[in-house]
Amino acid sequence: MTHFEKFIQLLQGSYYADLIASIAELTAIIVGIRYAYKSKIARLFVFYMSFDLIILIIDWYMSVYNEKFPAHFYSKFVCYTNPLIGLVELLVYFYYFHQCLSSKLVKSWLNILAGIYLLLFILLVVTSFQYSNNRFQHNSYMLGTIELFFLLPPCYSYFSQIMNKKSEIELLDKPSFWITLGIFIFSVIAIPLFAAQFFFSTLSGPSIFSLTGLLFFSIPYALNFLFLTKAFLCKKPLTI
Amino acid sequence: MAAFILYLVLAYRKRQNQFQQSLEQIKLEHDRTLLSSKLEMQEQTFQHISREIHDNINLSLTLAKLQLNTFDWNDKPASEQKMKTSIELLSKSIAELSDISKGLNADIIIQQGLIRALEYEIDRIRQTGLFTIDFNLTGEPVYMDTQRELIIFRIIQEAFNNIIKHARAAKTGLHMHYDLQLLTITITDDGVGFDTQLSGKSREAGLKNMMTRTTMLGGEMDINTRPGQGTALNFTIPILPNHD
Repeated sequence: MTHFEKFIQLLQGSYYADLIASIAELTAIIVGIRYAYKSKIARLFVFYMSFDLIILIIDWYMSVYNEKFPAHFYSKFVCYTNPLIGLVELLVYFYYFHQCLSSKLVKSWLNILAGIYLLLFILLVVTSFQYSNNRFQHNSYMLGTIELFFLLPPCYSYFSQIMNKKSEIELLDKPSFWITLGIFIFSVIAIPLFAAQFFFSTLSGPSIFSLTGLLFFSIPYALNFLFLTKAFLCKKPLTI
Repeated sequence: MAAFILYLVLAYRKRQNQFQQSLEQIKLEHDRTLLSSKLEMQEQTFQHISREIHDNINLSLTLAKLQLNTFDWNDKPASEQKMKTSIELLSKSIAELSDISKGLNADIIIQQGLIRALEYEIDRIRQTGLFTIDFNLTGEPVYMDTQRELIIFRIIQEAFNNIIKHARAAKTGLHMHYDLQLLTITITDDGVGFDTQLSGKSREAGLKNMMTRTTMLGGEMDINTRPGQGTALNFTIPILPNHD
């Protein structure tokens, strides 16, 4: 089997969900650079998406050319990079919410939650060598669940804010609405997947796991990037 | 999820419509108040003209007519005196009419600006000999929109009219200060002062007039006065109008 066939097989294994999500992500990056690069927040989003995309490409490369890498290297790589992406993602989103939310109480809570997540991440990395692969994988998905849970309160705060604050701008013209909606939908749908990841992975064979991954992760992940693209195209500051 | 998004959009639109309606209501109310104020000011101006004509000019012309009615061609000395008196009364009426006309005429503002118009007005008041006026100008004067300058002129004119009618002052002051964004006007007198709660109808109308005009310009008016301690009126007016 050639490497290309291996790559296609890899994509087929996830029902091309990863490919769809990566195309959506690339679109968001290109649109962000083209239309919104003057904004600091847009640059942060582009950075985080580029980082995520690079990790995904490396991930694919290592899957296809696995003979070049030592055993367990790939799984270790995934186990470290997933929480790292989660950390970068959380910090970028929290910074964004810091700029667009007006409640000082919520902002101070964002700082506390970011601090807690950072501590958990450091704890995971520092203690990872003591755990077996499965245990470490389980812990990294738990960290992912925590990240998604932490994203829900600022989303709720934002929706509450727009309902109470008077504005002349149409809701669908507000970039912040699209960004927050994307984060909210992704978090709400993906939390069951991350929380029950260990259960699903032992329940049935790989095909079921891939289908749940498609439904609960890749599609909402792609939707998140599409909403981000829409936000970049709104031609207004991203915190409006 | 689709239902949640739909609910959000509909709820937001509903609130936005309510907000727009309340904005329109406020704007309508504001326009109504402005129109009402303008009509009131117009009415007061007509009343002022009517009063001036009735109290001064009408009286002088009536006396002149009386003099001429009792004119006797056979009594030369008496007739000469009557002619002289009639001429004086007619001259007085012409001067008073001219004063009213100059006071109402906005041409000087259009042609020469606010400062020049104020200088003429102050000279006119000084000539009455009722009180001294100390006029002080600081900062860099800026030409404003003619309408704004006219309204400011009317405010200052009204303030001095009030001093003439009520204050019994010997000394007054007009200080104007221009800075980048604001014009500050202070008008002081050493007259009898008044209790702002108990001021008479005429004084109240004058103050209300000034307040309305100042509000129209987007400015603020402040009154410092006490019975027996003179009065100071402070106006802070933006040089450029605030646009919505």
